[in-house]
Amino acid sequence: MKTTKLLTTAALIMGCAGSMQTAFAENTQDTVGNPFEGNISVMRIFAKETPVKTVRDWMSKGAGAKWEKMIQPTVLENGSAPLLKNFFATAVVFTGTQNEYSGIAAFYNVWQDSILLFQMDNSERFSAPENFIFLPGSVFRGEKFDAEKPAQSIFPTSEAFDLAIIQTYQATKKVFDSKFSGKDATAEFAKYLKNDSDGMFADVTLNAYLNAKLLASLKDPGNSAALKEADRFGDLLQSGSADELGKVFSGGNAKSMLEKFTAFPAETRESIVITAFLNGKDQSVYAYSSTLWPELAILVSVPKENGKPSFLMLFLNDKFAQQIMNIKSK
Amino acid sequence: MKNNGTIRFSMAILLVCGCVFLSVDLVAAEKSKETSSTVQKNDTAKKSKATESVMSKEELEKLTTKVMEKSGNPLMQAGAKWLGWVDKIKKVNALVWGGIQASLATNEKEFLQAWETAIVDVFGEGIRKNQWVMEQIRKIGKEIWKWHLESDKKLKENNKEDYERSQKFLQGLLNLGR
Repeated sequence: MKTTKLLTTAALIMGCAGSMQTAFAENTQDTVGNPFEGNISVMRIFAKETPVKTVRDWMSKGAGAKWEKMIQPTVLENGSAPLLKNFFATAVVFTGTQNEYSGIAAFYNVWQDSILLFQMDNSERFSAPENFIFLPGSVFRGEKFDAEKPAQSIFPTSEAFDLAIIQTYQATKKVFDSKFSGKDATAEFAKYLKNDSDGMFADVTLNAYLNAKLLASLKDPGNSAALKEADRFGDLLQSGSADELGKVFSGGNAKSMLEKFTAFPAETRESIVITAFLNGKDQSVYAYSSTLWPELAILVSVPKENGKPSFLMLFLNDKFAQQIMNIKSK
Repeated sequence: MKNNGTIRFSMAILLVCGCVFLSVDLVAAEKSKETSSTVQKNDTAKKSKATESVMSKEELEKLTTKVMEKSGNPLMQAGAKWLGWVDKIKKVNALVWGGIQASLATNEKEFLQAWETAIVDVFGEGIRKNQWVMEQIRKIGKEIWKWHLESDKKLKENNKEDYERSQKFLQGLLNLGR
């Protein structure tokens, strides 16, 4: 979480700014070219508004009933499910092997480090999940879930936040691809299903809770300045021009990154929401993502001492993540 | 002649089927397009604050109580019961973390200490001066501990893995509350 580390990474990222554009273009093309991913993405957009109903109605009858029963403890009296809404709002879609009858897909939210894994029934015109398992990212990756040691992408203790986000995303995607890209995808899904339990969802809830708890500090009565800042940055990210952003955010390289950022479609930018808030000793970090395109992550770090906030744009995209990891390992 | 008729009939059927299939496909495509555009319109109709969905600590603690209450897990339900009781006296915030702390106690002494601390957190240090009230609080605490031990024993016997998981869940919440 040190400023220098963050800024160094920012500089390194600028080194592969050209490939960012390619990564963006490829990612968009992939989504359009893959009807399964397209369908799932549409469901995510609905699920972020009404997660209880949307997912239940989308799933097969049996899976829908399992879903409703499982998530019930997290649904408030008025029917809203804020932790689940947050999950779907910024979850990235993963698709594994698909054929005309079945396939595997998932929603993964790196900010909550939880994954909703589906076995899809593709025999209908609109493919739908016939079974699912909702588990913490750590369990999915084969690590041990430890409630006392939150995932690094929720609360980083050993890495800078930007690296923690990329590393956690990359590690999860790697496991997904290795298990669900081949012929054994269904068998691999069955292995996860075998270990399903009510307690698993309690762990997912705890991860979502951790993320929400850190964000909740923004609404503490004594923290109104931080909330004001979060809204000011949010407003700039949603509709500020490159010049306006340049006046607020620092760094010689930031200009080029800001120009690239402001080239995003207005709809993508307008749907930007805050996804994390870390109040560190030397700096505060405000993280944002787009609910229309959750692969986009923005980190704004504000030094406690004098200095302008710094702007960092990340892509939760395989190629981009690999590049970052390669730079780091060199 | 008869063959020609059959061929013509089959071709007509195929043509009709083809048209129906095509129109269904076009309708589906149109529907999907409409859905996407509605989704996008809904999403961009009004620009909302980036922090709009951020919950306050109070909202989050209420939700936690609900999660514990509805978890189907006696240990968590016990925690929620305490939180629910405190909610009635409109001072839920101060006791939330104390209640969780108490639910993690491993013996009666530890529990009663956490229980007392939680109560004092709510009413203030002044309450310690009232011997009678403190005695009642201890009595209630002892009863809760007894009830907790019974349900805890059952839970441990019935499902060791879930029990350990719920302990970790509570521990995680407690760490955050600090």
